[in-house]
Amino acid sequence: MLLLLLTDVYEPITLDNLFHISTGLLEDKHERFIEHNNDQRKVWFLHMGDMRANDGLIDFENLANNEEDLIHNRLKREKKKIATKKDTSNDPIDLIPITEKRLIQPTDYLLCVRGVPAGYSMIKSMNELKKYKRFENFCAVATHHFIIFKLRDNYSNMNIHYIHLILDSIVKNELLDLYNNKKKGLVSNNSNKLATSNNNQGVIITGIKEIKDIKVKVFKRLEKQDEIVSFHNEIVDATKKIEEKSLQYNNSINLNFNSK
Amino acid sequence: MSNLKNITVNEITSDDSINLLNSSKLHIICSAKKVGGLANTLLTKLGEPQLNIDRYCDMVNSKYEPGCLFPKHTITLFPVLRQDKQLTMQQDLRKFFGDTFEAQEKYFKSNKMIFCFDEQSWPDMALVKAILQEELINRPLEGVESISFHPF
Repeated sequence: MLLLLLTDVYEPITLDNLFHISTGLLEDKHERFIEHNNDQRKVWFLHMGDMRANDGLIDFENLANNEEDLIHNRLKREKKKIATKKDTSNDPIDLIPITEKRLIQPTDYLLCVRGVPAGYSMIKSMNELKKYKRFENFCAVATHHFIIFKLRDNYSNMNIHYIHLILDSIVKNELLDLYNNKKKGLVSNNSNKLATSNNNQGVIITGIKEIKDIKVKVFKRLEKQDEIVSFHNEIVDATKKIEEKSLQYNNSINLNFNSK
Repeated sequence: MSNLKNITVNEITSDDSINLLNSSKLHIICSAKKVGGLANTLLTKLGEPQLNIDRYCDMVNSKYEPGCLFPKHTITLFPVLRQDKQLTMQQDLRKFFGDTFEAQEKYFKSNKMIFCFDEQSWPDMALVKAILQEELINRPLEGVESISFHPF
Protein backbone atom coordinates (compact mmCIF):
# COMPACT_ATOMS: atom_id res chain seq x y z
CA MET A 1 0.00 0.00 0.00
CA LEU A 2 1.26 3.44 -0.91
CA LEU A 3 2.31 5.48 2.12
CA LEU A 4 1.54 9.18 2.28
CA LEU A 5 4.57 10.20 4.26
CA LEU A 6 3.29 13.63 5.17
CA THR A 7 -0.27 12.67 6.08
CA ASP A 8 0.19 11.84 9.70
CA VAL A 9 2.58 14.61 10.43
CA TYR A 10 1.01 17.58 12.15
CA GLU A 11 2.41 20.16 9.83
CA PRO A 12 0.26 23.24 9.47
CA ILE A 13 0.86 25.20 6.28
CA THR A 14 0.94 28.98 6.16
CA LEU A 15 -1.38 30.62 3.65
CA ASP A 16 1.72 32.01 1.98
CA ASN A 17 3.05 28.49 1.37
CA LEU A 18 -0.25 27.25 0.06
CA PHE A 19 -1.10 30.24 -2.14
CA HIS A 20 0.51 32.94 -4.15
CA ILE A 21 -1.17 35.95 -2.53
CA SER A 22 -1.39 39.25 -4.41
CA THR A 23 -3.50 42.38 -4.62
CA GLY A 24 -5.79 43.08 -7.57
CA LEU A 25 -5.12 45.58 -10.35
CA LEU A 26 -5.77 49.29 -10.51
CA GLU A 27 -8.37 49.42 -13.23
CA ASP A 28 -7.56 52.81 -14.72
CA LYS A 29 -3.89 51.93 -15.14
CA HIS A 30 -4.48 48.78 -17.20
CA GLU A 31 -5.76 47.93 -20.64
CA ARG A 32 -9.22 46.40 -20.89
CA PHE A 33 -8.22 43.61 -23.26
CA ILE A 34 -5.66 40.84 -23.60
CA GLU A 35 -3.81 39.59 -26.64
CA HIS A 36 -4.74 35.99 -27.40
CA ASN A 37 -3.61 34.13 -30.56
CA ASN A 38 -3.24 37.37 -32.54
CA ASP A 39 -6.63 38.41 -31.34
CA GLN A 40 -7.84 40.77 -28.62
CA ARG A 41 -10.17 39.54 -25.92
CA LYS A 42 -12.16 41.74 -23.61
CA VAL A 43 -11.12 41.64 -19.96
CA TRP A 44 -13.72 42.30 -17.27
CA PHE A 45 -12.60 44.02 -14.10
CA LEU A 46 -14.26 42.52 -11.03
CA HIS A 47 -15.29 44.87 -8.21
CA MET A 48 -17.06 44.22 -4.93
CA GLY A 49 -20.28 45.40 -6.55
CA ASP A 50 -20.00 42.67 -9.18
CA MET A 51 -20.40 39.94 -6.59
CA ARG A 52 -23.82 38.73 -5.49
CA ALA A 53 -24.38 39.20 -1.78
CA ASN A 54 -26.53 36.11 -1.26
CA ASP A 55 -24.32 33.39 -2.73
CA GLY A 56 -20.97 35.07 -3.44
CA LEU A 57 -21.10 34.36 -7.18
CA ILE A 58 -20.17 36.82 -9.91
CA ASP A 59 -23.29 38.75 -10.87
CA PHE A 60 -23.14 37.92 -14.58
CA GLU A 61 -26.63 39.38 -15.13
CA ASN A 62 -25.47 42.88 -14.18
CA LEU A 63 -21.78 42.75 -15.04
CA ALA A 64 -22.11 44.73 -18.28
CA ASN A 65 -24.42 47.35 -16.74
CA ASN A 66 -22.14 47.76 -13.75
CA GLU A 67 -19.19 48.36 -16.05
CA GLU A 68 -21.11 50.86 -18.16
CA ASP A 69 -22.19 52.82 -15.04
CA LEU A 70 -18.69 52.77 -13.64
CA ILE A 71 -17.06 54.06 -16.82
CA HIS A 72 -19.77 56.69 -17.21
CA ASN A 73 -19.24 57.95 -13.64
CA ARG A 74 -15.49 57.96 -14.05
CA LEU A 75 -15.70 60.04 -17.24
CA LYS A 76 -17.98 62.48 -15.45
CA ARG A 77 -15.49 62.80 -12.60
CA GLU A 78 -12.58 63.31 -14.97
CA LYS A 79 -14.44 66.03 -16.90
CA LYS A 80 -15.14 67.81 -13.62
CA LYS A 81 -11.47 67.56 -12.67
CA ILE A 82 -10.33 69.00 -15.99
CA ALA A 83 -12.81 71.85 -15.68
CA THR A 84 -11.47 72.84 -12.26
CA LYS A 85 -7.77 72.54 -13.12
CA LYS A 86 -6.48 75.05 -15.64
CA ASP A 87 -3.07 73.57 -16.31
CA THR A 88 -4.08 69.98 -16.69
CA SER A 89 -1.95 68.30 -19.30
CA ASN A 90 -3.89 66.10 -21.64
CA ASP A 91 -1.05 63.67 -22.28
CA PRO A 92 -2.45 60.19 -22.75
CA ILE A 93 -1.33 57.75 -20.06
CA ASP A 94 0.30 54.55 -21.26
CA LEU A 95 -1.85 51.70 -20.04
CA ILE A 96 -0.19 48.56 -18.72
CA PRO A 97 -0.99 45.41 -20.73
CA ILE A 98 -2.67 42.58 -18.84
CA THR A 99 -0.77 39.31 -18.75
CA GLU A 100 -2.40 35.85 -18.74
CA LYS A 101 -1.03 35.27 -15.23
CA ARG A 102 -3.35 37.94 -13.88
CA LEU A 103 -6.51 36.42 -15.36
CA ILE A 104 -8.89 34.85 -12.86
CA GLN A 105 -8.75 31.06 -12.79
CA PRO A 106 -11.36 28.70 -11.31
CA THR A 107 -8.82 27.79 -8.63
CA ASP A 108 -8.59 31.42 -7.43
CA TYR A 109 -10.22 32.80 -4.34
CA LEU A 110 -10.91 36.50 -3.96
CA LEU A 111 -10.93 38.17 -0.59
CA CYS A 112 -12.38 41.58 0.01
CA VAL A 113 -10.95 43.22 3.10
CA ARG A 114 -12.77 46.54 2.87
CA GLY A 115 -15.30 46.43 5.62
CA VAL A 116 -16.51 43.06 6.88
CA PRO A 117 -14.21 40.50 5.23
CA ALA A 118 -15.87 38.50 2.46
CA GLY A 119 -14.47 35.65 0.40
CA TYR A 120 -15.43 34.52 -3.09
CA SER A 121 -14.60 31.11 -4.52
CA MET A 122 -14.12 31.48 -8.25
CA ILE A 123 -14.73 27.82 -9.04
CA LYS A 124 -18.41 28.26 -8.22
CA SER A 125 -18.74 31.33 -10.43
CA MET A 126 -16.89 29.70 -13.31
CA ASN A 127 -19.32 26.76 -13.14
CA GLU A 128 -22.15 29.28 -13.62
CA LEU A 129 -20.54 30.57 -16.80
CA LYS A 130 -22.08 27.78 -18.87
CA LYS A 131 -25.45 29.48 -18.45
CA TYR A 132 -24.29 32.68 -20.18
CA LYS A 133 -23.50 32.33 -23.86
CA ARG A 134 -22.41 35.96 -24.16
CA PHE A 135 -19.61 35.27 -21.70
CA GLU A 136 -17.98 32.63 -23.86
CA ASN A 137 -14.17 33.03 -23.57
CA PHE A 138 -14.73 34.97 -20.35
CA CYS A 139 -11.57 36.74 -19.18
CA ALA A 140 -11.55 38.66 -15.93
CA VAL A 141 -9.12 40.21 -13.47
CA ALA A 142 -9.70 41.27 -9.91
CA THR A 143 -9.46 44.97 -9.09
CA HIS A 144 -7.57 46.35 -6.10
CA HIS A 145 -10.74 45.81 -4.04
CA PHE A 146 -9.55 42.26 -3.64
CA ILE A 147 -6.68 40.17 -2.38
CA ILE A 148 -6.21 37.18 -4.67
CA PHE A 149 -5.26 33.70 -3.49
CA LYS A 150 -3.80 31.61 -6.30
CA LEU A 151 -3.11 27.99 -5.36
CA ARG A 152 0.58 27.19 -5.79
CA ASP A 153 1.49 24.63 -8.47
CA ASN A 154 2.70 21.98 -6.05
CA TYR A 155 -0.76 21.87 -4.44
CA SER A 156 -2.68 21.95 -7.71
CA ASN A 157 -4.02 18.40 -7.38
CA MET A 158 -5.93 19.11 -4.21
CA ASN A 159 -9.72 19.32 -4.16
CA ILE A 160 -10.30 23.01 -4.94
CA HIS A 161 -13.71 23.07 -3.24
CA TYR A 162 -12.01 21.81 -0.08
CA ILE A 163 -9.25 24.41 -0.26
CA HIS A 164 -11.84 27.16 -0.75
CA LEU A 165 -13.85 25.83 2.21
CA ILE A 166 -10.75 26.28 4.36
CA LEU A 167 -10.46 29.87 3.14
CA ASP A 168 -14.17 30.45 3.81
CA SER A 169 -13.60 29.28 7.35
CA ILE A 170 -10.61 31.61 7.81
CA VAL A 171 -12.62 34.55 6.45
CA LYS A 172 -15.50 33.85 8.81
CA ASN A 173 -13.28 33.31 11.85
CA GLU A 174 -9.72 34.68 11.98
CA LEU A 175 -10.32 37.57 9.57
CA LEU A 176 -13.63 38.51 11.14
CA ASP A 177 -11.93 38.57 14.57
CA LEU A 178 -9.17 40.74 13.14
CA TYR A 179 -11.78 43.06 11.65
CA ASN A 180 -13.75 43.28 14.90
CA ASN A 181 -10.62 43.94 16.93
CA LYS A 182 -9.59 46.69 14.58
CA LYS A 183 -13.03 48.18 14.61
CA LYS A 184 -12.98 48.33 18.37
CA GLY A 185 -9.58 49.94 18.18
CA LEU A 186 -8.05 47.12 20.22
CA VAL A 187 -5.22 46.58 17.82
CA SER A 188 -3.59 49.97 17.90
CA ASN A 189 0.08 49.33 18.50
CA ASN A 190 0.95 49.97 14.89
CA SER A 191 -0.92 52.89 13.45
CA ASN A 192 0.31 52.20 9.92
CA LYS A 193 -1.55 48.95 9.86
CA LEU A 194 -4.76 50.47 10.98
CA ALA A 195 -7.45 52.17 9.04
CA THR A 196 -9.95 53.11 11.70
CA SER A 197 -13.46 54.17 10.99
CA ASN A 198 -13.01 57.75 12.27
CA ASN A 199 -13.39 59.41 8.91
CA ASN A 200 -16.34 57.39 7.70
CA GLN A 201 -13.85 54.91 6.23
CA GLY A 202 -14.39 51.20 6.56
CA VAL A 203 -12.02 49.06 8.56
CA ILE A 204 -9.43 47.62 6.25
CA ILE A 205 -7.20 44.67 6.96
CA THR A 206 -4.57 46.55 5.07
CA GLY A 207 -2.30 44.03 3.70
CA ILE A 208 -1.17 40.63 2.71
CA LYS A 209 1.34 40.90 5.57
CA GLU A 210 -1.42 40.37 8.09
CA ILE A 211 -2.80 37.36 6.31
CA LYS A 212 0.10 35.43 4.87
CA ASP A 213 1.33 33.86 8.09
CA ILE A 214 -2.03 32.45 9.17
CA LYS A 215 -1.55 28.70 9.55
CA VAL A 216 -4.00 26.11 8.31
CA LYS A 217 -4.13 22.38 8.81
CA VAL A 218 -4.94 20.65 5.56
CA PHE A 219 -5.97 17.02 5.16
CA LYS A 220 -3.64 15.67 2.53
CA ARG A 221 -5.53 12.52 1.61
CA LEU A 222 -7.73 13.33 -1.36
CA GLU A 223 -10.42 10.92 -0.11
CA LYS A 224 -10.65 12.90 3.13
CA GLN A 225 -10.87 16.18 1.23
CA ASP A 226 -13.67 14.77 -0.98
CA GLU A 227 -15.46 13.43 2.09
CA ILE A 228 -15.43 16.84 3.79
CA VAL A 229 -16.71 18.60 0.67
CA SER A 230 -19.56 16.07 0.29
CA PHE A 231 -20.44 16.41 3.97
CA HIS A 232 -20.45 20.20 3.67
CA ASN A 233 -22.64 20.10 0.55
CA GLU A 234 -25.11 17.73 2.23
CA ILE A 235 -25.45 20.09 5.22
CA VAL A 236 -25.88 23.12 2.93
CA ASP A 237 -28.57 21.29 0.89
CA ALA A 238 -30.36 20.19 4.05
CA THR A 239 -30.27 23.76 5.41
CA LYS A 240 -31.69 25.12 2.15
CA LYS A 241 -34.56 22.62 2.29
CA ILE A 242 -35.36 23.62 5.88
CA GLU A 243 -35.25 27.30 4.89
CA GLU A 244 -37.61 26.68 1.97
CA LYS A 245 -39.98 24.71 4.20
CA SER A 246 -39.96 27.41 6.85
CA LEU A 247 -40.57 30.10 4.22
CA GLN A 248 -43.52 28.11 2.83
CA TYR A 249 -44.92 27.68 6.31
CA ASN A 250 -44.45 31.37 7.06
CA ASN A 251 -46.20 32.34 3.83
CA SER A 252 -49.06 29.96 4.48
CA ILE A 253 -49.74 31.29 7.99
CA ASN A 254 -49.55 34.85 6.68
CA LEU A 255 -52.08 33.96 3.99
CA ASN A 256 -54.38 32.32 6.52
CA PHE A 257 -54.03 35.28 8.84
CA ASN A 258 -54.76 37.82 6.08
CA SER A 259 -57.77 35.92 4.75
CA LYS A 260 -59.44 35.94 8.17
CA MET B 1 4.27 4.68 -22.88
CA SER B 2 6.62 1.75 -22.24
CA ASN B 3 9.79 3.02 -23.90
CA LEU B 4 12.19 3.95 -21.16
CA LYS B 5 14.62 6.75 -21.96
CA ASN B 6 18.07 6.86 -20.46
CA ILE B 7 18.98 9.67 -18.12
CA THR B 8 22.16 10.71 -16.29
CA VAL B 9 22.57 11.76 -12.66
CA ASN B 10 23.51 15.27 -13.78
CA GLU B 11 20.26 15.61 -15.69
CA ILE B 12 18.24 14.29 -12.74
CA THR B 13 19.76 16.75 -10.30
CA SER B 14 19.93 19.70 -12.72
CA ASP B 15 18.22 23.03 -12.04
CA ASP B 16 15.77 22.20 -14.83
CA SER B 17 14.68 19.08 -12.99
CA ILE B 18 14.34 20.97 -9.72
CA ASN B 19 12.20 23.59 -11.48
CA LEU B 20 10.03 20.83 -12.95
CA LEU B 21 9.71 19.23 -9.51
CA ASN B 22 8.68 22.57 -8.05
CA SER B 23 5.96 22.93 -10.66
CA SER B 24 4.67 19.34 -10.26
CA LYS B 25 5.53 18.54 -13.87
CA LEU B 26 8.06 15.88 -12.96
CA HIS B 27 7.57 12.85 -10.71
CA ILE B 28 10.79 11.22 -9.52
CA ILE B 29 10.83 7.77 -7.99
CA CYS B 30 14.04 6.92 -6.18
CA SER B 31 15.39 4.53 -3.56
CA ALA B 32 14.93 5.54 0.06
CA LYS B 33 18.64 5.72 0.80
CA LYS B 34 19.42 8.06 3.65
CA VAL B 35 23.00 8.78 2.70
CA GLY B 36 24.62 9.18 -0.71
CA GLY B 37 21.51 8.50 -2.76
CA LEU B 38 19.59 10.62 -5.22
CA ALA B 39 16.71 10.94 -2.77
CA ASN B 40 19.00 12.74 -0.36
CA THR B 41 20.47 15.02 -3.05
CA LEU B 42 17.06 15.99 -4.47
CA LEU B 43 15.31 16.51 -1.14
CA THR B 44 18.23 18.59 0.16
CA LYS B 45 18.03 20.73 -2.99
CA LEU B 46 14.31 21.12 -2.37
CA GLY B 47 15.06 22.48 1.10
CA GLU B 48 14.25 19.44 3.26
CA PRO B 49 16.34 19.16 6.44
CA GLN B 50 18.36 15.97 6.89
CA LEU B 51 16.24 15.02 9.90
CA ASN B 52 13.11 14.88 7.73
CA ILE B 53 14.88 12.98 4.94
CA ASP B 54 16.04 10.37 7.46
CA ARG B 55 12.53 10.09 8.87
CA TYR B 56 10.94 9.58 5.43
CA CYS B 57 13.52 6.95 4.44
CA ASP B 58 13.17 5.12 7.77
CA MET B 59 9.38 5.05 7.41
CA VAL B 60 9.51 3.66 3.84
CA ASN B 61 12.13 1.03 4.67
CA SER B 62 10.62 -0.09 7.96
CA LYS B 63 7.11 -0.45 6.47
CA TYR B 64 8.63 -1.82 3.26
CA GLU B 65 6.16 0.15 1.16
CA PRO B 66 6.75 3.03 -1.28
CA GLY B 67 5.94 6.42 0.21
CA CYS B 68 5.08 9.62 -1.63
CA LEU B 69 5.67 13.15 -0.43
CA PHE B 70 2.35 14.54 -1.62
CA PRO B 71 1.51 17.40 -1.45
CA LYS B 72 4.92 18.92 -0.78
CA HIS B 73 7.10 17.28 -3.43
CA THR B 74 6.36 15.10 -6.46
CA ILE B 75 8.78 12.45 -5.24
CA THR B 76 8.07 8.84 -4.33
CA LEU B 77 10.57 6.95 -2.19
CA PHE B 78 11.05 3.32 -3.17
CA PRO B 79 11.99 0.86 -0.39
CA VAL B 80 15.48 -0.65 -0.38
CA LEU B 81 15.36 -4.42 -1.08
CA ARG B 82 14.88 -6.54 2.02
CA GLN B 83 15.85 -10.19 1.86
CA ASP B 84 14.02 -11.42 4.98
CA LYS B 85 10.49 -11.68 3.58
CA GLN B 86 8.09 -14.09 1.99
CA LEU B 87 7.59 -12.54 -1.45
CA THR B 88 10.14 -12.86 -4.22
CA MET B 89 12.03 -9.87 -5.56
CA GLN B 90 9.82 -9.89 -8.69
CA GLN B 91 6.64 -9.86 -6.64
CA ASP B 92 7.95 -7.01 -4.50
CA LEU B 93 8.89 -4.99 -7.55
CA ARG B 94 5.50 -5.48 -9.24
CA LYS B 95 3.68 -4.42 -6.09
CA PHE B 96 5.91 -1.42 -5.52
CA PHE B 97 5.66 -0.23 -9.11
CA GLY B 98 1.87 -0.52 -8.79
CA ASP B 99 2.05 1.81 -5.79
CA THR B 100 4.22 4.35 -7.62
CA PHE B 101 1.70 4.30 -10.50
CA GLU B 102 -1.03 4.97 -7.95
CA ALA B 103 0.96 7.97 -6.63
CA GLN B 104 1.28 9.23 -10.20
CA GLU B 105 -2.35 8.72 -11.27
CA LYS B 106 -4.07 9.73 -8.07
CA TYR B 107 -1.88 12.44 -6.65
CA PHE B 108 0.82 13.84 -8.91
CA LYS B 109 -0.49 13.66 -12.51
CA SER B 110 2.92 14.85 -13.73
CA ASN B 111 3.77 14.60 -17.42
CA LYS B 112 7.32 13.32 -16.90
CA MET B 113 8.53 10.48 -14.70
CA ILE B 114 12.02 9.37 -13.77
CA PHE B 115 12.75 6.07 -12.07
CA CYS B 116 16.18 6.05 -10.43
CA PHE B 117 17.79 3.05 -8.80
CA ASP B 118 21.22 2.04 -7.57
CA GLU B 119 22.84 -1.35 -7.15
CA GLN B 120 23.16 -1.05 -3.38
CA SER B 121 19.36 -0.77 -3.07
CA TRP B 122 18.36 -3.24 -5.82
CA PRO B 123 21.32 -5.37 -6.97
CA ASP B 124 19.70 -6.84 -10.09
CA MET B 125 19.20 -3.71 -12.16
CA ALA B 126 18.32 -5.63 -15.35
CA LEU B 127 15.45 -7.33 -13.51
CA VAL B 128 14.21 -4.00 -12.10
CA LYS B 129 14.16 -2.45 -15.57
CA ALA B 130 12.51 -5.48 -17.20
CA ILE B 131 9.73 -5.62 -14.62
CA LEU B 132 9.14 -1.88 -14.85
CA GLN B 133 8.78 -2.22 -18.62
CA GLU B 134 6.30 -5.09 -18.24
CA GLU B 135 4.25 -3.21 -15.67
CA LEU B 136 4.14 -0.12 -17.89
CA ILE B 137 2.76 -2.22 -20.73
CA ASN B 138 0.15 -3.75 -18.40
CA ARG B 139 -0.88 -0.39 -17.01
CA PRO B 140 -0.20 2.50 -19.41
CA LEU B 141 -0.07 5.79 -17.55
CA GLU B 142 -2.38 8.44 -18.93
CA GLY B 143 -0.96 11.90 -19.58
CA VAL B 144 2.66 10.86 -19.09
CA GLU B 145 4.74 12.07 -22.02
CA SER B 146 8.11 10.60 -21.08
CA ILE B 147 9.48 8.03 -18.67
CA SER B 148 13.20 7.79 -17.98
CA PHE B 149 15.26 5.19 -16.17
CA HIS B 150 18.55 5.49 -14.35
CA PRO B 151 21.09 3.87 -14.52
CA PHE B 152 21.32 2.75 -18.13
